[in-house]
Amino acid sequence: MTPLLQFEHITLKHPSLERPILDDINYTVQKGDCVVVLGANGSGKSSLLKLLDGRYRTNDGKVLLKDKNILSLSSRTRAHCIHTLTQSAQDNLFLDLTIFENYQLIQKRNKADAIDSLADYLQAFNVKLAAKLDVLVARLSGGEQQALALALAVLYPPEILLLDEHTSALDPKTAEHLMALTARIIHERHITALLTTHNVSHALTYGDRILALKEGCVHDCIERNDKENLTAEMLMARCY
Amino acid sequence: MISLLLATLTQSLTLIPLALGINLSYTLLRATDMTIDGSFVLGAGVFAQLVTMGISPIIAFLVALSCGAVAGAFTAFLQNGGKVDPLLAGILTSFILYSVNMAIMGRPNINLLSTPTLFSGAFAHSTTLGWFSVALVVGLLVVAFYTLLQSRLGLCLRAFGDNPALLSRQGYNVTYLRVTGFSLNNLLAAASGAITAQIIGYADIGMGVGMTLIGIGAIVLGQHIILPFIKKHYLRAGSELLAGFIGIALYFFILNGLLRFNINPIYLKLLLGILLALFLRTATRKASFS
Amino acid sequence: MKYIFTCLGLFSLLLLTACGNKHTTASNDEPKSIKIGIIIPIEHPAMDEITRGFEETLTADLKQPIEFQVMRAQGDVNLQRSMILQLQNKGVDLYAPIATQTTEMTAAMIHDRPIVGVAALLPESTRAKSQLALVDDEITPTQIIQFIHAIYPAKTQLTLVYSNNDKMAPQVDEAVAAGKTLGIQVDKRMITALPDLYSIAQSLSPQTQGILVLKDVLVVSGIATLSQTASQKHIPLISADDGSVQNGSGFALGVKEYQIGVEGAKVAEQILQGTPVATIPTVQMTKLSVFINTKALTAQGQDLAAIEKEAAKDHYAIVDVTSKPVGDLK
Ligand SMILES: Nc1ncnc2c1ncn2[C@@H]1O[C@H](COP(=O)(O)OP(=O)(O)O)[C@@H](O)[C@H]1O
Ligand SMILES: [Mg+2]
Repeated sequence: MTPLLQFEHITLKHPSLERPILDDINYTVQKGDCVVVLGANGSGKSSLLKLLDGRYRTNDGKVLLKDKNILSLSSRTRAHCIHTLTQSAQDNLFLDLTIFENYQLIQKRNKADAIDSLADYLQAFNVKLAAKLDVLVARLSGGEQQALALALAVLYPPEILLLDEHTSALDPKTAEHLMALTARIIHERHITALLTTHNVSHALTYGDRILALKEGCVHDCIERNDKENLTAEMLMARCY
Repeated sequence: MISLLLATLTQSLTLIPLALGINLSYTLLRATDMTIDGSFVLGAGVFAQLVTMGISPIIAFLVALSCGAVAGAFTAFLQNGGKVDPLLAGILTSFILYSVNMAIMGRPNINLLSTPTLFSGAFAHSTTLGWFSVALVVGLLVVAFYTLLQSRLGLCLRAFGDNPALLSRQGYNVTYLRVTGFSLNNLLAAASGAITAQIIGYADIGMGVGMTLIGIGAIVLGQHIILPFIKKHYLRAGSELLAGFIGIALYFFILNGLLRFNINPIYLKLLLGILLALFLRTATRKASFS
Repeated sequence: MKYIFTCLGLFSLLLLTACGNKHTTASNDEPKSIKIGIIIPIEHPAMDEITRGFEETLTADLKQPIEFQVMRAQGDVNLQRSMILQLQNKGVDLYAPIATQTTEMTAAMIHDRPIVGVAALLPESTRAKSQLALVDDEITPTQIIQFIHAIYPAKTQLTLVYSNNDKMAPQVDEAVAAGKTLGIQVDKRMITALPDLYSIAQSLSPQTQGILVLKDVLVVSGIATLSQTASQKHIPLISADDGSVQNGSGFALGVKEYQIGVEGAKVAEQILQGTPVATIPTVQMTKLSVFINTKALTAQGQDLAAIEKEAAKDHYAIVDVTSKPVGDLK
């Protein structure tokens, strides 16, 4: 079976930096995996994800999506396959549009049938937004915004969901809720996910596999089987 | 007082398409598009030149609108995928448009006094009928524009103004949206120019100076007055439209009112300038609250 | 928010009282004076001169009291439109817009009152729909060439310097044609920007016997450059407006702005005395003036007497503008 996603000798450089941001990364992601990417700040996690949603282009090596070079995809096809959520709401949602308008933009891009009731749909994401469909997204709380972004991201499930520290800006309790919700949704809907976080216990609980980066290189790979015997402290020691 | 209101009404009417265009660029696309100063004249000039050549006013009007759209597309094109500031691109286009307008018109001023126009038949019948026909054309533009705002395209344009990067990541073609947005707003400015030329009896190379400024000032004031009363966001498009009308009408109400005070004309422009500054100041205040 | 509404409210209130006052004073006015609305498009000394000529002549000639309402639009199209509406509101009896663009707007907006377009160049057909009379202030290149020929019958080579302004092309053609009939070869030199003047001045044909400049804003603004060349070559620099003569041209055949106002007033007078507007032909300027700059003429080695003699023959007034500020002519 061909893997869903392959990173082959990925190198990413920036003219202003001596050291490459990503240096010869090789990694394979199978359909349905939930891969957690760990690493210190500046280790290149976000950059790795940005290669997938078209914000960055590799200098060397290639990213294959179902055996096709990701650069050869049209931006429309790529947007259908890959959806990104980051910690800052303005990367995920149109803040000056209402909840309903944000929904319309997603629905229309997918040319899919409109859902019967957006309010009912959002109910399933533990957010009480039913009465606020006509409210600007900017007026919502951070937790509501991230939950809404997640709900809209999986409305027409993408093949790959990229979650770049999407709980980092939230208080611990809300973050916990959102993480659990995210894990449930991606399992239920068989979405492949690449997730970055600094929370090692989240990584252990929700990740199928773990990829640790250090200074742009692959530092460690932990597969399903190895994960069972690890504690948070051991993971900490191995990855940072 | 009635004559004052009538003056306000007739003057506002011809600039309503311009207000719609500025509403589109300033409120939806969030760009100050100075192309408008040039495309206003372009619309007037193309229309005047074509009808003078004996072409039917309806066709001339449509061609004038298309020329405005092309000017807008050029401004969008100059922005080079969002790398060049829209303000600069617009100033550059209107700079170029001065020569283009001159070339199209062939002279600085084309008079339409004895040329058949869209409204000349109606005005020959009676002034009321004349203004009614102007209102009809403007009304058509307003309805078309409102329908557009409520459509999918309108939503995309608004999203473009809010966050073009996200829109692009969601798979939308932002280059196409930018071109469409700027074309539409300059099309409306050209419509205003062509209508104005027919009312004042000529197209003149200098008739567009300051139009953007008046338009933005008026729209900002109008929005400041009306938007606090609009709580429902699905009424937004309608209320923005209304804000444009109110703003333009207020500007001309004040302008015509000032004239009735017999103010020394030397200070009139100063007063109008201060007025516009006050209009625009209210906007910054609002921004710092929200 | 509140502040805007307060301002607007106050403004409207003031407006109401202002309008109210006007009505009461108007009813007290016993003798019915004639109201004349003058519309000035931009601030320029020439406009003031025309206005002065118009007002002074009309006041002197008409027996009835006259009330002039002068509106200054200061280059603002919207303002100008409001001003015409305001004049209409005041019940003006006759409109006197100055310059072409202003006349066009007035004619488009006012149909029930006579209009005298002063210094307005409009085709005859535009007069049909409104009560429009015109005073055309342009003098033709032919008149200038003929005048030059009369002063210098021996000259056969002239250089005409003009800009790429579209308004100039037909006038240049006319000048060339007029020269041909009089045996003068007119050498055309076009500039597209001011710096071109310098290179043209340096590369004039050695045979040229004079430099001619028409009413051409761009060239006139750089007249000093041409003046230097004319002095070096000892040939006359001739133009068509007083401003350029002040700045270094030797002499010009043109019209005094004041005189344009006078002609406008005469037309207004006819209309007010009952002549139907449609029967009044467009007035061409016949009272021409010769503007001279004695310093420049001396530098260019030209004889003032020959010019004065020809001017007297054609009944042109001689106006010496040597170092006089613009707008001070009468
Ligand atoms: N656009 C960019 N310009 C300059 N440096 C960048 C850019 N993107 C990433 N980097 C650098 O690459 C390194 C990795 O960044 P990033 O991927 O954001 O790290 P992480 O998400 O793991 O914290 C950092 O040193 C960062 O400064
Ligand atoms: Mg990061």
